[in-house]
Amino acid sequence: MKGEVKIWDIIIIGIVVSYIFLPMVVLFEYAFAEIWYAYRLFPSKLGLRWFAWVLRHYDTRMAFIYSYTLAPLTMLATLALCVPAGYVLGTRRSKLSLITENLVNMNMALPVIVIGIGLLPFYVHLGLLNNYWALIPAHMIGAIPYTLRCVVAAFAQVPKDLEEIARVLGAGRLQAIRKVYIPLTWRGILAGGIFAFSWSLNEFILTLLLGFPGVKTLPVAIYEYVGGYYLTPQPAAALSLLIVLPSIIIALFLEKYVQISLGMEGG
Amino acid sequence: MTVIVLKDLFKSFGKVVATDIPFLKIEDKEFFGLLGPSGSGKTTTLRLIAGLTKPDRGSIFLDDEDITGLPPEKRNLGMVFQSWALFPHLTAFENIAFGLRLRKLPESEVRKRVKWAAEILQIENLLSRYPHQLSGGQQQRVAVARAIVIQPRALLFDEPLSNLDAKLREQVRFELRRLQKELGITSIYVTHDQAEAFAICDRIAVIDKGRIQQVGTPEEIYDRPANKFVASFIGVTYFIEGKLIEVLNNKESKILVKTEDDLEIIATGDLSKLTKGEEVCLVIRPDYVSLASPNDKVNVFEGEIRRATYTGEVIDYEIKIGMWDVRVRTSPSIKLPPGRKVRVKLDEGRLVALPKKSF
Repeated sequence: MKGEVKIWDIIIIGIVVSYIFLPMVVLFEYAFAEIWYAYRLFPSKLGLRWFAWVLRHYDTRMAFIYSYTLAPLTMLATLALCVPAGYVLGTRRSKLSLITENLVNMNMALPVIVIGIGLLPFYVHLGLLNNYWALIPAHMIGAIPYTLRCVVAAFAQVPKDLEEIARVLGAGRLQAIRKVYIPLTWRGILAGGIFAFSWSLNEFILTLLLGFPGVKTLPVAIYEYVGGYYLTPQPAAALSLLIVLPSIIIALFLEKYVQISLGMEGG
Repeated sequence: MTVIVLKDLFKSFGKVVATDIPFLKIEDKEFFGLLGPSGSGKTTTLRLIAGLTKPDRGSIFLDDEDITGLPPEKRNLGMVFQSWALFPHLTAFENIAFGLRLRKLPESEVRKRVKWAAEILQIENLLSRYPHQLSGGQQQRVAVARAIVIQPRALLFDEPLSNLDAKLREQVRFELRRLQKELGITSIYVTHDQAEAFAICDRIAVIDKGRIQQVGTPEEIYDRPANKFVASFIGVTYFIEGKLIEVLNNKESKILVKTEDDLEIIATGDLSKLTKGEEVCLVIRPDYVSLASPNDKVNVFEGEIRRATYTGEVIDYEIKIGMWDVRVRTSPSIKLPPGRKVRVKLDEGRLVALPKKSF
């Protein structure tokens, strides 16, 4: 009986793991393969040729700059909006704040293309198509529900009487936020910021709809390689890895510093 | 020196009146209790004084200064919450120093004052610990140290002992009272626990439905309850109803009360509030009742034991006299079975008659 369960465990875990990692394996193979004959399972020669190739192109270099400046800007703008909102929604659990939260969360269920179609006439009317700066609010629309959730949860976790005792002891409202809420919520705020960052990095549909062809971010550039006139999976794979790399570093950082310390606090 | 005065203070939440106090004066250096059942509005009253809740109308004075409009941080009050509300991200030292740092005191002064408060509360060796490394009793001490270290104009306690276990709670009561007397800081203590209020406070306001039912020393409240709510909320209380048929002694306020089932009981009563022929209620507590000795002739009645409960220190008997229930506590050496007929003496000096219409 016990053995049976174990076999099933391994099979299920195996399916899940390969589901996530097989595409990554293929991606790595494509990205590093310099010579790869069609009938072989593995490439014959590995190298960094495709990385050099994509980095030589002006378009991809610009895509890098666009992606990695838009992501932090989107993150900062999203946090600037979500931290004050999260303070209010998280500390005053009124009916209004619950309704607000539900409305914002509903946004997660909307396909991004729907939002994009709604935004398009605005952008056309205001002449904001192909505008780098105008992509920040577009990216924020998708990021806000995730960031807000993290931040609200972080603020809601702080007992109300901590703020109150701080006030009685002589702290003004802003001092109470700085000395009590921020030290107790920064992990949640950081996690929310990283959500916004990676949302912006991954954002494809709105960028294509509103920014193309003036502003091409990395996902759009990759799409051009595979979905354009010529099918060139290898530079696309190399470029994909270049996007994934910072994300992996961030994920590892989060896992190591944020999650673990959160867990310790809970215990 | 701090005198706290509440004038026409009113706060309601929707239809529920949380605080409705026409006038209350808390004297300098007094340890004042707000005693009432949960939901009576005592905590709201404390929060109004702290500035954490805004009143619908009325004013709060510290000495002659009207502080009603001041935000909490401008009132310079010390407060201890039921949860103690220690900052989990700060050590005990930094928790205590929190108010001092906001006042921008130099580091040496901060150290000196934290040390002073820590010595008073005997927590000098715990200062480097975080709240989750402290026991409940230790957390409570840190919270009190944090409140007194800023040298507040007054101290506000919101049931600070209700999260401690019973034994510790009893011990800390005396410490709190001693501390308050040593420091001489006017203090308000909110609790639902009568024994706690009696042990700690100089005077107590009994509160129900946001309104003060009686203000007085513990003795006054226990022996001369102003109305039925106070009488039944304080102690173990039973009532006997009857009619005031005769005033026996004007000077000693002795009266004779006759019940429906023709018991004639001698009691005391406030003659300015009672008139002959009036319906009254007698407040009976276990310590007003005893098993009669053969010499007892006055106010002695036949009763039957209905129930006996052994608690270790005493045996608690429920006794039926006529149609009325009373309780009496005796030494555990006197063992009587249920059903036994006994003679019961009611202490006419302490038995208080209240007008029934006040109920």
